[in-house]
Amino acid sequence: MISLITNFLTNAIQSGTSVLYGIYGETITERSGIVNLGTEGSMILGAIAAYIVAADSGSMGLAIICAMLAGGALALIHAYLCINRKANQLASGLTLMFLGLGIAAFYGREYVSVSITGLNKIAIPLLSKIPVIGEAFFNQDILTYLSFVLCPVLWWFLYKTRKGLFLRAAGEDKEVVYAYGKNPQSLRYLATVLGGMISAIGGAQLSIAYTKTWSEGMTNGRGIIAVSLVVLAKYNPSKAMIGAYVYGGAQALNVILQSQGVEISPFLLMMLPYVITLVALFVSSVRKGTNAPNELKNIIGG
Amino acid sequence: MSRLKNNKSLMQALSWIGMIIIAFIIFGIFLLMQGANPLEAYKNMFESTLTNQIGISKLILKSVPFILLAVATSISTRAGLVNVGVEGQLMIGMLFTITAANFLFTSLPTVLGLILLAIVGMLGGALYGGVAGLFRVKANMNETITTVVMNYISYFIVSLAVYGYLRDPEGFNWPMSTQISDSLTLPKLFGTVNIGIIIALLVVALVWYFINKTKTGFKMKVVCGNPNAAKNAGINVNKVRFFAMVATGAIAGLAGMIEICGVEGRLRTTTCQDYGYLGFLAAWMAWNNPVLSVATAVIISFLSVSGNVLEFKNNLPASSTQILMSIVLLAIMWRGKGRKES
Amino acid sequence: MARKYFPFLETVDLTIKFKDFVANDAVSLQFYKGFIHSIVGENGAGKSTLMKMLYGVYHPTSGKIKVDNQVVEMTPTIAMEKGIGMVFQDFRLIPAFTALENIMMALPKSKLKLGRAEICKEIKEISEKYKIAIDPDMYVWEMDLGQRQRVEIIKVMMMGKPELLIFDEPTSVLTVHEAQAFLEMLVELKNNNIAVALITHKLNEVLAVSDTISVLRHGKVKCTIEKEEGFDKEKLVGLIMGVEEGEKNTVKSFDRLEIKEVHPMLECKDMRIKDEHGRSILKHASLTVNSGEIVGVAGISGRGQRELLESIFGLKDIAEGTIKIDSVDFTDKETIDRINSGMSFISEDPKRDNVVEGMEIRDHFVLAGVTPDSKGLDYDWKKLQQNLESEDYVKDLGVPQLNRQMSTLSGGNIQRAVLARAAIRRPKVLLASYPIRGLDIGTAQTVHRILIQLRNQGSAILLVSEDMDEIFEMSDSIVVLSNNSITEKFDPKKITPYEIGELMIGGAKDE
Repeated sequence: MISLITNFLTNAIQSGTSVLYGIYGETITERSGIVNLGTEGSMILGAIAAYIVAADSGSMGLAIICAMLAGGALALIHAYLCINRKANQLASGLTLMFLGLGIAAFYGREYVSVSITGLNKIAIPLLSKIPVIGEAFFNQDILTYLSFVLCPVLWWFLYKTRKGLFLRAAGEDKEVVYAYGKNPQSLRYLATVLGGMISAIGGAQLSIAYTKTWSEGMTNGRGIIAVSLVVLAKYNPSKAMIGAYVYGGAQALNVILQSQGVEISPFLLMMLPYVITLVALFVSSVRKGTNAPNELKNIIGG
Repeated sequence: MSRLKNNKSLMQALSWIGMIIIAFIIFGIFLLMQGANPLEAYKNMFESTLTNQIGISKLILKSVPFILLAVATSISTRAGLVNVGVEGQLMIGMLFTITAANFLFTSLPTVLGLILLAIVGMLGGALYGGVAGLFRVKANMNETITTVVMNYISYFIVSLAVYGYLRDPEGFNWPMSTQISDSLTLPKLFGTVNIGIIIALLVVALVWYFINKTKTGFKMKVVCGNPNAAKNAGINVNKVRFFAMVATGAIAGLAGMIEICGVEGRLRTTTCQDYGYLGFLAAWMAWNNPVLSVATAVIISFLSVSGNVLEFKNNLPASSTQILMSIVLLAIMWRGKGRKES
Repeated sequence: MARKYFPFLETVDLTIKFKDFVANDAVSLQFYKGFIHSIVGENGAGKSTLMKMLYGVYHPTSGKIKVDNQVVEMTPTIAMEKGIGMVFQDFRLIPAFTALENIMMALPKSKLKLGRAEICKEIKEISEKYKIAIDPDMYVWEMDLGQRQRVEIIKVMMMGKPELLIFDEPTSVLTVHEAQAFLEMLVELKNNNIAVALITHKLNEVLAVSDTISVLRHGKVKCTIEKEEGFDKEKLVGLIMGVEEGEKNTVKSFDRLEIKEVHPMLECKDMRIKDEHGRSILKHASLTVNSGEIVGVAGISGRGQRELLESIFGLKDIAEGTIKIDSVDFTDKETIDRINSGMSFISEDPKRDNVVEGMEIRDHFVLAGVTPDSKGLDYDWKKLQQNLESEDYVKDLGVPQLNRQMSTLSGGNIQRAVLARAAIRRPKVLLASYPIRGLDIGTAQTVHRILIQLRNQGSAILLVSEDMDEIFEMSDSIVVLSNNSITEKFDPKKITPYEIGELMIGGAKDE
């Protein structure tokens, strides 16, 4: 039983981490007043870029860097279209999602059967020996650990630095930012590209750390799910883990139940994370006092 | 005055065509980078599709769902919603149609059976669209996000059914439904082309009339332009939006019925996958104008039919057409719809 | 009070043109440290443009600005370095941030290294020196407008060593009592040897604190008067309005007809209304407006004015109580029913609440319940346009061509159109929220004339305003929003603005 719980937690964290990066990235972006549904595209580009580089060069560090560049480049297009060309943010994001999926499928077709070594698990001494949770939390790959570290780092960036203050201000009222001689548009560029890069790490985690395979469309809506879970996290990186691990938990349940041979349709189980996402979105939408950035309210709802 | 207006529409039309050409050029560069000759690739695409009857039939046949899905999407957009739900609504429409065709109406005469199936298909799409609509108006959940998530859910629902109660007992365990009876297939116009194209064009005309020439269309325009002003004018914003989501779903469901009864005959887990997204692209490429979206739907149909040629002759995968279409749409978004002030 | 020194800031023949339009024409003014210099004038007289040049937002076409007797090419950065601060009319604050966060954004480079504690200390010092108390950790959205203004002022003062502070319509959003406190603070600033430039509409305030008054009209300085010369209110009004002495009293004479058959047109009984956070902002609120009566609603802004009108118009559900229009119960009916029964609503912000992007002015009349005939499934648009063009109110108010896009119009023109569409329906009940906000004196008078005309024709009018002069001038009776409720009606002839102010404050402490 204990091992089952450990197993469940390990799985939940592994599959939740990619979504966690997506939430981090999108939180930064949305805080500046831009919604990027292209997060899905950035993630899948991150996944394929990392996979290709990992397979061809064997360097995991290079793989992650390339993933970030690819994801950031896609987000850059979004920033340009929304900021300079005043395109509809939702439609632009969706289009970039299609573009990302298309490009990834295109370059990925020769890598479907290529195998890689990927990122190895690193057990942290002592901590990984804690019963039940030690194995789950402290015997993971480096990207998982990075996702733990990013939580306070991003929170600190957004709430305790001047740049973060202005970035949030750009999402609240861009006129105010102008009044202080800063350019809200360049802050939005920064936030969107940074968001795309962080999301892309999530894609890399998926392909070179978690599954260590490449398959077409392997992000399976994780980017979109991340965007919905940003609302649940109240646009705050410090609360991002809740949503990510609820999603991961639903995926893990699927794996565990199937491995235990429980008589239930696999499709129902596969549906579960998406249904849970809808429920989470529902709960966070009807909840009073969402602290959505002011400039976003017109774009997302109302 | 009106001449000025005409000039403006002409300029818009020209720049729109320009965007499409630019996108083809960008994609050509992309092909070059892949070591393919873009001119040859385009030539192959045109020749295979437009110079023979089989190609043209395929083109028309494949345009039908894209036209319907694009028009469906544009209704939602005209009510100020960014709704990508036609993908899932198409799936559910097909599921409802095949279920009714194989279990309820198997022995009905053609005309009655098809009318009933059309209603059932529309009902399925409308229901699924209605759920997203309820999320939007009752819980203020963003429709773009919910519809994408619901699209994923629809695949699993279809899989559940196809692996379950729909599965063809004589299908050698393939995941597919039983074939519908011959009496329930759409009548043919010529060759393989069925009356679906006529239905689709009729729907386009209806939607155009509805959006531009009715009071409800006027209300939608207000809701789209400024929801707050709509409330102040006593317009029930939620009702209009919900209606738009349901109408979008119904038309998407109709597209599903036409695909099942006119083209596929049975449901597989992969039937019509991504059609909804392509329909969405078509709508937005046409600035959500129902009439113009016929043109974009045909372009997308052309790309997806001739995309197969790319794959055979130039060794380029199907995903390259997806890339091309995204680039077209990005180019059109880059251009915008001209300045709003007149 | 002779001025021995040269001015801190001086403008010499400052002129600015926007294309062919001369917004400021050869403006020469002096601002001395330790003196309050007020600039008065109609909307569009060029006051704000002038101030923006002083602050370096606009650059003059010709003329120069001297600071400490040296010519300066002004930019916002230089203005900040020279100690010129501007307190904007629409506070440049972010409601979702705390006071401290808002202030931190404004800090100049020299103060970037300061830690939180040091900044708080400086805030405290300024608070004490000039008697402007704020709580740095309070969120701006929790503050009332007076508090927000104090945050804004402290923020401006922390941007540099303050030498000249420019205030753009500072009291327009404040209550009588808050405005009083504000004026005391101005004197405090003056006593600390700061130069103050004050732009305002409110002559009484100007007269109370100014050392110098300049009147701006059509971009030119009509005159500059020193306190020693003595200020004359009547004369100032004449100068501002551009009317000669002798004909100045045409301004306020409205013909109020005696209404013979009075009956209650709008009856609200025992309402409880919640605000957006779910708190009851009004409880046991009752109100009756009779036909041919203008009821003025006074109150500190944000005490439920918006919620009250939105509830009456059906945009918002009331938690308890009843609303009757012309003796028929409308409590559970929709906005559209109220429009159809003859109710019109002039919103406080027509651009936000009424203007639809991409639609013509004509279409906007339909949105307010001017129903055209049907033609098939559509409206008969041609006939509508003809009908509207022949309407007197449309002509009187000078509504622009009906096929123009509403969203391209200026604020004043939008207000004209909104008023015209309400007036041509001869509404049974008219809800008017700040109907003259942002309008120049001339247009404001037209609006007031039309309101009185409608009243004389029997409309029941509920007028919400924060301008005490307007309330007293227009109302047949006055109610006050306070203590989370509505007071009884007062006769404007039997109560003073100060007493109304007391009532408003009475409600302010109840949280």
